[in-house]
Amino acid sequence: MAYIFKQMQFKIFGLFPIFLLLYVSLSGNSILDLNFFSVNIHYILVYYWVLSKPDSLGYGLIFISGIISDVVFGFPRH
Amino acid sequence: MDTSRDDVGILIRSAFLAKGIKRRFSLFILMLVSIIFLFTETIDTKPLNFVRSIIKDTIYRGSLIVSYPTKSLKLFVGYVDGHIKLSNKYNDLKEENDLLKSNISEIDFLELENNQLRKLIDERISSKSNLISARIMLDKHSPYLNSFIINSGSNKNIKNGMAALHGKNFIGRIVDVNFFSSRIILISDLNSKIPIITEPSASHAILSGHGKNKPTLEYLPENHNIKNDDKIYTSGKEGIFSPGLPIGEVKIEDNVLKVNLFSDLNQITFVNVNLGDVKEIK
Repeated sequence: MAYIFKQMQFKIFGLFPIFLLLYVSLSGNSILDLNFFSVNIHYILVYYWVLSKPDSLGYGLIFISGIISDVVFGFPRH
Repeated sequence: MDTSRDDVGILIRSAFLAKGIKRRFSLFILMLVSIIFLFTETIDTKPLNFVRSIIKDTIYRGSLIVSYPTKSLKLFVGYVDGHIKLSNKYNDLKEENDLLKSNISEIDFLELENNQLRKLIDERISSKSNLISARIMLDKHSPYLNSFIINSGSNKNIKNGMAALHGKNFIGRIVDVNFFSSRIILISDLNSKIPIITEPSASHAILSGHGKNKPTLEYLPENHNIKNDDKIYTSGKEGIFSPGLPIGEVKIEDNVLKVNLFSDLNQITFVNVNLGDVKEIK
């Protein structure tokens, strides 16, 4: 039981960056525009997980999230 | 350390083609797919448009669903912010309202004062007597002794014994004169004794004050025919005041001739002092 719970916890933590990435892509709130500078959460997430925990976030998911972002923002614009 | 051609090849392969641990797509493949996607974006065919619209619709719907929490949070934040602003605005408006109310009261008071002063000026112009206006500084009322302190004295030629008027009505006489102030003893004061004449019965009498109670007529002739609502005027018999200054009207209660004064002594702010026809009482 404890093993199953631990596995579930591990899976949830493992899926967390994916959910976060998809959420940020779909909601279109990837850019935080502060007073003096703006922060792109999308890039921060991608860089952090690719460098720190590359197993959690694959290239394919990053690619899909990029496409979703493009669709949401209407890129590329003709 | 020299790098051989093989090392560069391995580097490029690992960068673009190698899938790494558990990676299903290599970077190179994904870049290629991106270029293909960009290229297909320029192709305008019916089936491709159909697929494109389905994908976009799905993503838009997903975006809509995903943005619900954010929107709700924004709405909630806006709601709370609105309430805070409303509260602040309410406090500001309350302060403004209080200020306006106070201003209105001030304006009302000034208007009242202005009206009273205008009235006084009119009275001074219309009166043949030499009147001087003064403001009541102190209002001394006790059960028996009633007097006013006014803000004019010998600097305005006020002298003892002068008649004090409210409008045209007689209310008392000057008993104490200082340089900048004077005391008026009111006709309701216990010590006030004023010679009067009744109209139309033309009976002479003395109007005697009783403090809080109404003044009464004393020293009347035995066979007088004074009735209710007869008018009372100063007689001027002792040569103290001008004759014919209105005082009040008679009200007979239990065979006592009381006088209802024309002026309410509790509601007086300004008085006129008659400077003319005066002989100072020493």
